[in-house]
Amino acid sequence: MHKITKNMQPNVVQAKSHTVPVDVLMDVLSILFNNDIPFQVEGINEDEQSLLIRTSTNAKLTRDKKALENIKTLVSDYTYYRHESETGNNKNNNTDDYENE
Amino acid sequence: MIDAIKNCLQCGTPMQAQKSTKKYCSDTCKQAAFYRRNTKPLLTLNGSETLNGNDSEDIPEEPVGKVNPDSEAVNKEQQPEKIPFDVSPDVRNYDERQQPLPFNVRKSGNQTIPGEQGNVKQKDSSPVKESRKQNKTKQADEDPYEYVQSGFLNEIAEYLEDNYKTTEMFQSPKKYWYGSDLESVKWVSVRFRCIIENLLRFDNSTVERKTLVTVNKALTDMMAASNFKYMPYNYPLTDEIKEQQQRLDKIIKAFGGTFRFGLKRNSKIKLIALRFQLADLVTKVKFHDLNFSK
Repeated sequence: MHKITKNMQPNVVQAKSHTVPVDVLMDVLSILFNNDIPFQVEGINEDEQSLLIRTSTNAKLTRDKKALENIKTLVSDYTYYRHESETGNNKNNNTDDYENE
Repeated sequence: MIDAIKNCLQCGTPMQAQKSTKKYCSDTCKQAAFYRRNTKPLLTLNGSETLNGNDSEDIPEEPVGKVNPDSEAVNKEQQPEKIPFDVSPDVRNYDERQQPLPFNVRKSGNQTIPGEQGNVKQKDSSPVKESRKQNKTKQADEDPYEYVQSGFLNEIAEYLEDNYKTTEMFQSPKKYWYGSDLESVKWVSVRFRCIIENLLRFDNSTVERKTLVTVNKALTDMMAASNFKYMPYNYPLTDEIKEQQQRLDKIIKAFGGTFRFGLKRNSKIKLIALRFQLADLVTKVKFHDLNFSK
């Protein structure tokens, strides 16, 4: 696990938490490692099959901003395919989660 | 070999020369003499004088500008009027230009270092530092951020693209079905979506066999229902429903008690894509709210 040890000025460090589904976890991790972004896994949600990851980025670095944007895009795209798309005929007709028995 | 007594040309100290060509008593004196000879041409680099290259043997191995502190001390004592590093900024820039360039400058390749040095020359700060700074910034700009794409998401998108017709049918069902056909399509679709949602939810979790048996029974009941039997011929998911039922059947026969249920990558991609398509036609309904046999 990457520890938050990067020497950064406190005023430019931006901490953000992301709920990352395990299906895109490898992609998110590769973004974090490729851009040397410190992160911590804050929690695991087994029911949702997701991890809560806290990143610390330098708000002044364009590269860090783009990396965060990249993560957000992946997560939102995944959410779109996996949980949303209640469009057209079925917009606003969501119900609660299922019980299979 | 000649062991004649000679005086050092730099400090005048008597020395025993083993070679007839030896002029200086020590390396320090040799270097000091070199700087003494070359200070003037350096100072007037932009003028008419050039470096004196007559005594090539006296040129130290270190590049100009890297001065041994001892030799500098000697220079200060003996040649106080022409010390190379107490001179004008022009000379300093010239000397620093002889130093090796920073790593990132060499890496960038297309950089024209002399031009940059020329601009930096006018500034008070070190040209090498400025050059490094500029190149670092340029390098960051030159390396565009490479967006990481998810193979998983791309495969979902590809599946949807390949099965665009199905998406279109569920988005505009009235174009393809009407009356009782449309009702049957919706009846089957809402149930199939419910089963898909549950299978996706079971993925990577511990599941009891009886839970899967219940789901499989629901699927079997649905397939036995008249709505499924008299489904319009162009309903695109008939084969998928049969396939899922067969898979569940195999799992139930293979496992007992409690086990970890896992979908293969391709199956999961397909199920997510199918759920996505069905979501255009039918809403999410709880499993226990649905009657699968009607």
